Amino acid sequence: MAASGVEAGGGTGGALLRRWAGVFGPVYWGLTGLLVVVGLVLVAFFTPVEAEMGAVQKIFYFHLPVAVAAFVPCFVVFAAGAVYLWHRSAWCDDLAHAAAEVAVLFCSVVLLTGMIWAKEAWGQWWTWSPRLTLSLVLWLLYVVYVVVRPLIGSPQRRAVVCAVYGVMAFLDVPLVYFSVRLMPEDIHPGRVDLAPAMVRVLLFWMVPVGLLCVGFIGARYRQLSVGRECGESA
Amino acid sequence: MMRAPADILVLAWKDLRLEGRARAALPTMVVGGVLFLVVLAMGGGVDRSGEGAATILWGALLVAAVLGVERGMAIEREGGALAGVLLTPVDRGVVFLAKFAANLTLLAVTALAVSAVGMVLFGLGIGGGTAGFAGAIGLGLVGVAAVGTLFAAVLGGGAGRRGLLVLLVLPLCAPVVVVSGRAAAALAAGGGGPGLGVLVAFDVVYVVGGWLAFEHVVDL
Amino acid sequence: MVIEASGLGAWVGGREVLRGVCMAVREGECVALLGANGAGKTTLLRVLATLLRTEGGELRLFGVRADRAGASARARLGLLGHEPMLYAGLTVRENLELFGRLYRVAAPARRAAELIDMVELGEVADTRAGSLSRGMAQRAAIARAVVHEPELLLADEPWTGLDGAASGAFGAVLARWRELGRTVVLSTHDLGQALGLAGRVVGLRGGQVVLDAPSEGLTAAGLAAAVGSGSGVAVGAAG
Repeated sequence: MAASGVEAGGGTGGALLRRWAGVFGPVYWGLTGLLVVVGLVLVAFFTPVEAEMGAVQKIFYFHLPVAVAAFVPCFVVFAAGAVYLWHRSAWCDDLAHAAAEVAVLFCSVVLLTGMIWAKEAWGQWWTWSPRLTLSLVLWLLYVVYVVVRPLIGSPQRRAVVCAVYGVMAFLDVPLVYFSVRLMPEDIHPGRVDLAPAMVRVLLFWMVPVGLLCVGFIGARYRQLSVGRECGESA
Repeated sequence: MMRAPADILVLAWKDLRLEGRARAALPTMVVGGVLFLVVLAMGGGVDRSGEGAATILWGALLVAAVLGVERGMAIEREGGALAGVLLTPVDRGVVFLAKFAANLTLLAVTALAVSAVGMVLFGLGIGGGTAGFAGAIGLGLVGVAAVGTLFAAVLGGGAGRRGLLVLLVLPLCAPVVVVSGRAAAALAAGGGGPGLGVLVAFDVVYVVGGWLAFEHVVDL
Repeated sequence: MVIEASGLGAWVGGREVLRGVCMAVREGECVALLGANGAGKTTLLRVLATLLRTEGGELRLFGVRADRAGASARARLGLLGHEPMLYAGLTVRENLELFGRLYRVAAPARRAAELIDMVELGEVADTRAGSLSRGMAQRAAIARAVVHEPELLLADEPWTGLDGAASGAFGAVLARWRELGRTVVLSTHDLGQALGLAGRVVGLRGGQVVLDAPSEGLTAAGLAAAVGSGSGVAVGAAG
């Protein structure tokens, strides 16, 4: 048996979470894949082509849901970090680690789709408007989390540093949100008026994107937590 | 908590006295900041407008801040002095606040020195609203000092951890720097200070966060 | 009870250094912690001094849970460690005055002078702590540990690296603490010395308590067998 106590992936919370992570099997991914295909069909054939921008405007159906969903892994990093600092259970660290990687992935997608949009809408890939600047900062924050993690040797110190960092990083999310309102010169729209058909497709896309997000976190968490156990019994 | 202000004074004064005696941090910070300015100037295109001045100054101050907080924590770890302080009945959050106050003082002095050099060497103009400019930069420094102090304490002095401080502190300071830089430029140009409220909110969160977290995360 | 510990665990650098440590120390007792290098003596003392958090178990200091007692418990205990825990850039006098203030001693300057006399550091009182020799630094550290006359004195291998004068200074402190009926917990690997000084010995091995007995009737050879002194038991090898 591996060493008992905090360092073991277990504890009731960890065990519970791992059992729950078992949900992310073939059925889950099959359903998610199906919804993605349905979503693509909806975007391709059942949404109006925007007058000014043409077909590129359709990237918006991915950009906005992914941007909204990116909030989830950021929050998980924050919450898991806070719980880690309270209880020092290793599973919180694994969960935060998994969520941070998903946060990087989602923020990358947001930035890339945003850039393609910007090129078409405003004629340039990037502008240093507050909203864009702070989205980039958000992306950098979680990139640093993922980059720094393996550089800290002691598992405990690594978990503590990452937990404090994750909590602090999350505080940037409201700043991103408020900056767009505080700085009137911003090019990025704070609200958009859409045709009802657009809104429906947009709302539909929230479902597969949300499932992808949660699924990625769960799958990666299970991988990390199994890895930790193997490491311990080795 | 009644003793907190007195304890902060005693501990922060100790830091400033050590600095006055050994000059371990301030020269490094000022030279680091000025070096940043010079390297930028050698590269050509120094934007001398208000916004350019704020950005350049912030770059120099971030360099100085990372150097300063690292040095400040090294003094605490030498000979286990920090452990000695944590053994005393002083509230451990107060130990953080004292270190933060000392770091902030050194950073403020550095900011003055670096701005002076910037003005003389490059004629960086900040327009009429000097007080507003200084205020916005100062509010930003509060957040940067708090984050820097906390992570210098969390990261520990172990081998291989030194370079990491820059990586961790820069992105966490970035939003503060962005908002502070823009507000400073706007204020210098005589406009209103957009985002000053956000800046204050972040200062409060970072300082309070450090105060609460320090005891549980400090690496001796 | 001054110390009540049950089921204490502690991790340092990813290793489980203490597991399930139970011990109780009454007021006025002098307890020696024994064990080979790496047995967990230093870690246990740091846990008792509230410098290191415990993972699991409960620690009560002066009858109050250590995580709640905080400052009030710290005000009543002193720790003498391997490091002097002094600011290298401040003089001995400044250090003692600083710590006197932090411990809320009534007249820090007078107390500092008193302590400097006690550990006989008058000649180097205004020398920076960082430039003292090992023995002198350790004497200064003794002075720092007792600035506030702690009811509970924790000492980690207090004789290691001490010169004659420092040894004498610590001996004097120890004698006074026992005379005043205060509590002392010290770690050592000198078994004979432990038996001579302490009323009770607690043996640690691989982070666990393997012996807890009054020193009366024990022999150094018997102790060595019990705690595996010198065998350098690796901690956490079982994981």
